[in-house]
Amino acid sequence: MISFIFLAVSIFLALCTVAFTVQAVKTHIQIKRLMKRADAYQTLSRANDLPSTDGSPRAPLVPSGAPSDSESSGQTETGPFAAKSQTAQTRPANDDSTVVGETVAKIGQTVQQSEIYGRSIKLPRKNIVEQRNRELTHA
Amino acid sequence: MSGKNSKGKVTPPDHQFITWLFLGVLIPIAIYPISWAIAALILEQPDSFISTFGTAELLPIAALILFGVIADIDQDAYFSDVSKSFMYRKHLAFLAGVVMLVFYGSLKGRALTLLVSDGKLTPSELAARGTQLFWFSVVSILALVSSVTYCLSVKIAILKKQLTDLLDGGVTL
Repeated sequence: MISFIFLAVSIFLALCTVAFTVQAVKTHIQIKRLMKRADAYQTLSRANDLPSTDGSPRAPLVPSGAPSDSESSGQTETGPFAAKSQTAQTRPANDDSTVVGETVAKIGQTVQQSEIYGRSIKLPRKNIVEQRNRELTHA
Repeated sequence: MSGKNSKGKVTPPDHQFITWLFLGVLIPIAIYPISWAIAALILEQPDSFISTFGTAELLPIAALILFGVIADIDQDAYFSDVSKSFMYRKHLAFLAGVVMLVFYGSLKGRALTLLVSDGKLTPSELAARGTQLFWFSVVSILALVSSVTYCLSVKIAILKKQLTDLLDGGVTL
């Protein structure tokens, strides 16, 4: 009788072990994906911070699929990006492309975080950058 | 939360996880297999397995590991919001730890009674005692393994939450 009780307890504990292991492995795989994306955006951010070899302003690297914006320069910050204008004043006049690059990187980060939290939202990355380009062109 | 060393550099959470795994789990557990190996191979003690693991000494270690995870969840909840699932896991860890301590109290007393032999026992009685001690060993080992895997899953979930918090706050990993 005692052996049967201990056998039942042992089976229960073994099943718990398997369930916990599966859960841990699943979460570990999610962490691996998370770290990969974090590394990718960190590398991108560092590459954007580096000066070019000849000292000239360099177009920022953006995530693949997002349009780059290197032709806009010396513009005033207006519209939905007005909050950025105060930080932009401290930059050189020809450094607006970096602002756009940061915007694209932030959008990418937001999309990444939404994927982390399991939300299925899709931000209009391309539309926001195009709107930004239109504002810079019309200003 | 991620700690800081003397130079002010943020310690990555995965490094803390590996440190916990080695110092908090593997080293305390490794004492028992090592002592079993010494008893079996060097001292050539008969029934070394049941005399090492049959006293259910692994149960309080499992309870301590579970209580440590409760402290980790509490610490994480102090610095940031945690979901309800973490609270459920915390209560489950506490309940499992208490149950293991209660079982340890009862199994330990019974195991000490079974281990002490006055030489007047028949072979069948000795075999029955050995069987009981063997089951004590199996249950305590499985309880420890399940506790460790549970704590691993909780710690990995905490690690994932800390990483997402770090990315939220824009801290460079």
